[in-house]
Amino acid sequence: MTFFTSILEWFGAIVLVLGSLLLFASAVGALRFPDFWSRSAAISIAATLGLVCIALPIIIHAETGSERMKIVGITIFVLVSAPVASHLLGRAAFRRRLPSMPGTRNYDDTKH
Amino acid sequence: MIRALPEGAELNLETLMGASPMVTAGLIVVVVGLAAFAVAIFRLVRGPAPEDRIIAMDLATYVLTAILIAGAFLTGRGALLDIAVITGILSFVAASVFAGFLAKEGPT
Repeated sequence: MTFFTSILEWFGAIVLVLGSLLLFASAVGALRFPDFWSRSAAISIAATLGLVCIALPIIIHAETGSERMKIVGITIFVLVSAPVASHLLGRAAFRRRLPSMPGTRNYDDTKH
Repeated sequence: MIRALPEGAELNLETLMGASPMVTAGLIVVVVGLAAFAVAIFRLVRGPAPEDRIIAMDLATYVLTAILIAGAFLTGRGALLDIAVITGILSFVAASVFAGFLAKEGPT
């Protein structure tokens, strides 16, 4: 194993562990946050970054092109679709006037 | 496809542990991802509003996609990537359909 391959392996391992920790932090945020909107932010931002952090080293280390393009497709689709899904759910929740956490300003008199 | 192990090595936990740093990190991803999946399922069962449940299901599907990608890297089975594609697409479709259904329902 050459020096460059070893560096690539170690950086890939670090990014993989970082991605798994981001996914777990997102799950903890989904469990502990007091509000639908804060939970939505925790899930749609941190989980997307965690998924990309897990996919990137495996893209680099993939051997055949078709498998690599499959992972690239999954990553791009999740990057595009996660904010859209989160926005749709947030709009539905806003129209249904879900309760927000105490101390939220300008929520009740915003036009729904 | 993706080769995590050297040529000719048998696929079990002992050969996976000492293979390379990326393989050990892949095992960590699977274990931590299963813990995150359990936490997301807990929020899905508990969540007060339907929106909470749907977004917890979204998180569970992202975690499942990540576990499937790491599992395809570890075991070298390309079929797991097809399942990952399907879960990634299905999460968006389910979230948008349920959001449209809930938006029609009106204020609670």
